[in-house]
Amino acid sequence: MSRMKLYISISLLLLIIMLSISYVNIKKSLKAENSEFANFRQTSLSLVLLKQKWEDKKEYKRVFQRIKNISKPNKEIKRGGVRIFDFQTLTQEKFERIMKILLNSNVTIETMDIKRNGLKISLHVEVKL
Amino acid sequence: MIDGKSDIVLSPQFYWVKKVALNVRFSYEVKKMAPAIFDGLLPNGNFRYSVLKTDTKEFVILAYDIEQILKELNSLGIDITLIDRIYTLQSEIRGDEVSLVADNLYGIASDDGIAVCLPLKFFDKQPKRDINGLLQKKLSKNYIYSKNYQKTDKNRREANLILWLLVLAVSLLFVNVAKIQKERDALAKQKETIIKKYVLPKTSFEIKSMKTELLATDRKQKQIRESISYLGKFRLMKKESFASIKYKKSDLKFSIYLNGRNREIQFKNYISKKFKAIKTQRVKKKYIIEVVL
Repeated sequence: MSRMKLYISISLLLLIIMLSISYVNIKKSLKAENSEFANFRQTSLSLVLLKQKWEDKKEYKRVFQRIKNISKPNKEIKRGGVRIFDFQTLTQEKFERIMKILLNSNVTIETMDIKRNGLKISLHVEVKL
Repeated sequence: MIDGKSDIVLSPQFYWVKKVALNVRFSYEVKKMAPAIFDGLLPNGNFRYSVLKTDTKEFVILAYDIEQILKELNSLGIDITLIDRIYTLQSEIRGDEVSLVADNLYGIASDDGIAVCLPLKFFDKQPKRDINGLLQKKLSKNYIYSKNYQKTDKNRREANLILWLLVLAVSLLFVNVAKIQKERDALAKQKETIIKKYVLPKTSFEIKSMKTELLATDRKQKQIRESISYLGKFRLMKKESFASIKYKKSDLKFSIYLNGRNREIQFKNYISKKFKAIKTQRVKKKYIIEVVL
């Protein structure tokens, strides 16, 4: 073998060794990235489902409208990302219907204050938007 | 017959020769054209070519089948294992005009620098010198066969093979590395697509953080609903009723009118099944319970 070819062969051999090391490292890295991506995907999908459950603006609108259809609140306040409903004199039946809507919905209840005054019920609820 | 290591000079019967004038500078350029120049002139065989430069743009091309030559020599009783190198007469006359006696019947002559072997009766005059004089001279470097060359040729082929295998290995590695890099890029792109599609934060840390927050919200809201539903399932008797239910942050406080101590104990046991950290208090007829969700 000529000297030139010998040098070329040695260079190629060294290149193969370096490339092999790089290949092994990159493959390890890919495995880790695959695993990380799988985690990312799962976390992201969970987050998306949670957001769809608890941050659905249409759901909030719908719930508020249904509550107001049952009884007009004595007070309705929007304050710093919170919607406050205040009902002073609900009948048992209306109270139960409103509570059913609230408890079966996916609105975030921050505060709830229920008081019975004889036959009437007052309901104060703060919902986080 | 040869009885020791020898060089052979072939007479023109063993090869084909052609003189050409070409507008090129180097012999290797002519060698590349040799198959085309001899196209249709040679019999079947595995021909190789050798080029001798005679003048600025004049070349003599030799075409020979070395396997055939060795076979021929063998058939003449020459032990080819004793042959060191084989030359052609053409390369040894070095373009000179010659007129030599080869043996009793044949002579070597040259015409326009091309050596030919002819019967002696074709010569005008009997040549004065014989071929031995030519053969005594130091032979040129233009041999067409070398025993060492065959070995070297084999080594060269092996070296070329190893070289090509190395090149192949490097290429395969490059391809694989490029493939893996492509897969990594595809992963990164998929990630970007998911983030864009669902309007998510860019970093995994933020996504995880948001998820943890919403999971806590989910858990808490579920607890509130279950707690209030649970309270609502307690069977109240006549004249019993809930006075109030208050939920704020993690505290759930409710007051209830119950018929006597036993009912309070029953209610407390009922509550204990669901809630922990219970604080109880009685204010007048109201039984007040505070729990932490």
